[in-house]
Amino acid sequence: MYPFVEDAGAHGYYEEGGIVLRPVIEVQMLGPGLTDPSQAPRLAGIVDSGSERSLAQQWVARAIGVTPDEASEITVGIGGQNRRVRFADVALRVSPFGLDPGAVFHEWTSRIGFFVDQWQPPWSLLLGHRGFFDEFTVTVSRLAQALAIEQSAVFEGRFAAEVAEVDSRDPRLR
Amino acid sequence: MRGFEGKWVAIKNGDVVAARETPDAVYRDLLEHAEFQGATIIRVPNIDEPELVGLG
Repeated sequence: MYPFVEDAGAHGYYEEGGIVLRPVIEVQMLGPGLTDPSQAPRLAGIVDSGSERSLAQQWVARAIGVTPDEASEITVGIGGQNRRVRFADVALRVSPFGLDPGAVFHEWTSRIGFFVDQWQPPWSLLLGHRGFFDEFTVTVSRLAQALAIEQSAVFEGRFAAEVAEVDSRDPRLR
Repeated sequence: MRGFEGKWVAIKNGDVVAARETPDAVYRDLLEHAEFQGATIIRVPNIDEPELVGLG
């Protein structure tokens, strides 16, 4: 389980007196440019269930030594603008909150989109459906101010009957 | 993180251990200082940056 983090810039928009909380987890990204996994940059990754894709800033590609595939380039709308991203297969690691990331971690490989254009949100990694939600069952609680990630099979085990029923229905919003 | 607005920083155990203008520079700092291993890299928004919300 990962407690929410207070937005680093929240003091700039306190108009309603509230604290802005974000579902953020620390993720390490690995690539061929690293001589040792301990060099993998530890990124603040914001968990975004509204994003189909997982996206990272271009500096991360430089740091880990990957060259995103030019032929894979697409344009996505994010942060108020259209932005180009190119994809590369990378390894990612996440560790349980509070434990030594060098000792205990879960590692998976995914296709991550790296921004071609300069854009610098506070988080270097946006964790969307492909690359994160297809790897874990994610539970978010505003009341508990925390999110939990579990094995992907947990959801089907928890909601087996409901999943079977939904499978038999017509698609929604189509 | 007050005082670091607009900077890229590395945070370890609640402390800012590096603060630079670019993420590349922060990452280099971390590589050069073994004691900073495990720090998380993040950018601190400027005071006038609007709150980011969902799609768009």
